[in-house]
Amino acid sequence: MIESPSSNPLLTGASTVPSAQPCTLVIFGGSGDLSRRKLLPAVYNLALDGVLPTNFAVVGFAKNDFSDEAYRSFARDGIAHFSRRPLDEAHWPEFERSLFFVPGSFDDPACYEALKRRLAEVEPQFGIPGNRVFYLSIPPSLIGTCVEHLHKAGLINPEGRGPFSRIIVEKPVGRDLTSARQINAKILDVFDEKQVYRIDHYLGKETVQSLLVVRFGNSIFEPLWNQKYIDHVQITVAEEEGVGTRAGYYEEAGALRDMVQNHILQLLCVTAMEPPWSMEADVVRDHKLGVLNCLRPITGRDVDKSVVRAQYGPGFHNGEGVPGYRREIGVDPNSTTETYVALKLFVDNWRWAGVPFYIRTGKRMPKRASEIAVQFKAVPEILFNANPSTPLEPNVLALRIQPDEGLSLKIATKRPGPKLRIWPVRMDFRYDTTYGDQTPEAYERLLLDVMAGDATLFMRRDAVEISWKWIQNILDAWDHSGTRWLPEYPAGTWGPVEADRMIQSDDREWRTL
Amino acid sequence: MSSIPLGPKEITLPSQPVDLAAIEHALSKLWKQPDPQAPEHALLTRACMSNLIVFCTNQDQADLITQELDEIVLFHPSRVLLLIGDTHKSPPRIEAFVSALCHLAGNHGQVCSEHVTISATGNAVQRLPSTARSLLIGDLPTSLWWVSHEAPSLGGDLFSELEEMADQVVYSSLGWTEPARDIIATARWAVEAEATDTLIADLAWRRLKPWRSLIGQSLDPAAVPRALETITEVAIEYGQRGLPQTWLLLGWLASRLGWQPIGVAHRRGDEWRWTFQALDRTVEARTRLIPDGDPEVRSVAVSWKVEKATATMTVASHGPGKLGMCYQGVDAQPRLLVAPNQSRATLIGLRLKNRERDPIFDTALQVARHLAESSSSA
Repeated sequence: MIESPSSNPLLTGASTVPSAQPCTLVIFGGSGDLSRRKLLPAVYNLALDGVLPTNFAVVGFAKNDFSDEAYRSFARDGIAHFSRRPLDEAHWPEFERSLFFVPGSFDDPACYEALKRRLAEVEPQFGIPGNRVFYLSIPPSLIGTCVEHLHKAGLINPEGRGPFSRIIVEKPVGRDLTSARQINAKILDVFDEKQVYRIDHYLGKETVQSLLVVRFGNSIFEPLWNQKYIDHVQITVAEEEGVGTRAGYYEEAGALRDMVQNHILQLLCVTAMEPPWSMEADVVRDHKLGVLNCLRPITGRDVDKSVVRAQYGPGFHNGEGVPGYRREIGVDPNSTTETYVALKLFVDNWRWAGVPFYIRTGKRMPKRASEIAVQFKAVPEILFNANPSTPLEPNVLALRIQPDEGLSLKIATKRPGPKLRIWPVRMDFRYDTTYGDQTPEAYERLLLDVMAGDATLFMRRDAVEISWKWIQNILDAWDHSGTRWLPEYPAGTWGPVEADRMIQSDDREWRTL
Repeated sequence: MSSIPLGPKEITLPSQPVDLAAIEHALSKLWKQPDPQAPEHALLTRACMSNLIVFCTNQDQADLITQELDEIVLFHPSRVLLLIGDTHKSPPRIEAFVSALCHLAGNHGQVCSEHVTISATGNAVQRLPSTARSLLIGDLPTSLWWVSHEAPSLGGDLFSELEEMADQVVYSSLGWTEPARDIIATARWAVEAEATDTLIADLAWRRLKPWRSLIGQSLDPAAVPRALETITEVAIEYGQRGLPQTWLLLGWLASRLGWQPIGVAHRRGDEWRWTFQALDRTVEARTRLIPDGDPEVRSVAVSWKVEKATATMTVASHGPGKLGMCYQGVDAQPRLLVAPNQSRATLIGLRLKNRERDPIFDTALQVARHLAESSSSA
């Protein structure tokens, strides 16, 4: 082996997980809900797993007037409540020593100078060579301002020159095509695309990553993964909760923007993409982009046929009465924001020609459940499937994203006994029972990837803008329709009858989860 | 890496004696009989991702291993064949027991692994491999965990027969009674094993993972520029059973940084010294036995010299699960880090999940062999 000053042979090959590099994680909106519930617990679990770099610190940056001590207390509370691992008192003092807070307004240049001074104090203390990850856990409308001030304060190094500067942008990037383009342009005025990590935490989930392995690591699925053998695909992302405390954001967003434009289209991409020729970030992302490019636009009157939107009305959640959406705190009583959307869409390429993808997502559904279900075509109507009144149930490969991450395959079997009776059985694989150990949270994997400089699971600018372009057709049609009332579904049910009718008109049914 | 979730153990179906020929039948029956303690709705799911053959030589070891199996199968559900081969005991006899190891899996009932114990004494020990062979589940990877005070390859025909069934052999060099002999034998066997695609894993090496990670990060060019290519001295302190582990750690540093051992080892009391040739300098390595306390590697100090200024980075054990790191001559604060759970059961569970060759271990082992040979001839 040749000694090289630019590499570290002691870390090369030392671990199968990405090797995170020494850095400071600066969280804009560091005192917010995402920080408390997800980001700080994720960092804590990475520390417990021993995969954080030794030279590492977190600096929260937000309007609150927190001291370092108050921020540590805030972090402790979040970790105690939301970490997948219990808080370890023995480890806590060392962990909290690496947490700092800088109070400040995102639009005040002086606050960025204060942040800069604080980083200059913290980094030498921890032996951090100036590498920085800026996590923008803030509304999309503030992204441009923050990026501009970061640049003006000299907090960002150009790509490839000196210590790295990376930025993580939370979804949704914008609220329509125009704003997404504006935000991306502002970010790319300052950062190189290689420094930008547009996060969609769904892509950090094990099942989503596992789907690529299921498809391309097994010889039995890929030959069937096309219009010859697949009848249709259903993607469901169901939320049990109502709008809660997010009415301000949600009224502006709605289910289409909040879930479909990012999470669900990304799930669709992983399901429908062609085999990438390597797992390099840009190769995988190019192949996902290929799917988005093939999405058949839904425009004009087709929107009414292929898209159903609705709001939850009053109903029950876990046996308790809950109000309808328009009665929620902070929601306009005449709101036309959709809390549920179902779509039928097509990927117009050779592989998927004529195969419908049914998508649904909503709030206040009976349970929290997300899955991708691939339903195969029925066997010919002869032999075991000869009786039209009792057709055989089709094979379904279902990938559960949450909860109980795993996959199942439904197949037909003969029930034991003298008579020929066919019974569908489910072969089930669950991560927790099979692999035993706890699955890391998506944010853990994604934060580690950013520190290691691996962008495979993050969205590129072109993918964001193409997905917005496709969504924009639907948004435009809705805007032109002048709707003042949306169909309702009772809280605690699987959606409006209109969505049932949409899929039933194709002689298909929504899956019961 | 994740630690093991210690979920509540709901039931363990009791161990039942069975005829050797009826073991498979008895295992099938386990899944049909209702457990009187379990609620009616409790579902029992048999989970099995691999075969695990465990070989040990006496009942005391077997009792300890049995306690650890709960944790291992929770981490990696397996059909476990625990073979106890006590050649010193007579008369020759062989007997088998079957049971199940079960754990609650959320609201989904219990997930269980099968556990077969086969105990043999005297000449009957020779029958253990053939008995085990018939009980392996086909199409699943098989690991052999060899529990002994000497290197697996010194286990004679019994080891050879069991090794043939396994894709992977796991052992621990901690506690080897003749470290030099055992490391040399293991390094030779590792070369043969590579040719037959058998994976080998030393738990003592796995225990070094947090050490290696911390040393690697603490000497990273981003944190301490030029340290790696100017190292002049390494000093390692180890406990009573940690000599093979120390050689592996030194072997790792040398092989990763391109140092070649030169000359022979020098001994002074409990201290050994070696010299390595780096590109443009020599590197002195010292190892010292600390007889009391923790039996493994206790501290590693690496010194380097940049433009006449010497600096040292020291990583030391700070009790169970904690490693401390500090610099001398570098302006940075000391750090205390949590090292993930390193129980033997955890390490076995991790190893069962991992089916990849570790080329870094392979090269470290060959350097360790050189150090062991050098020590033997000193």
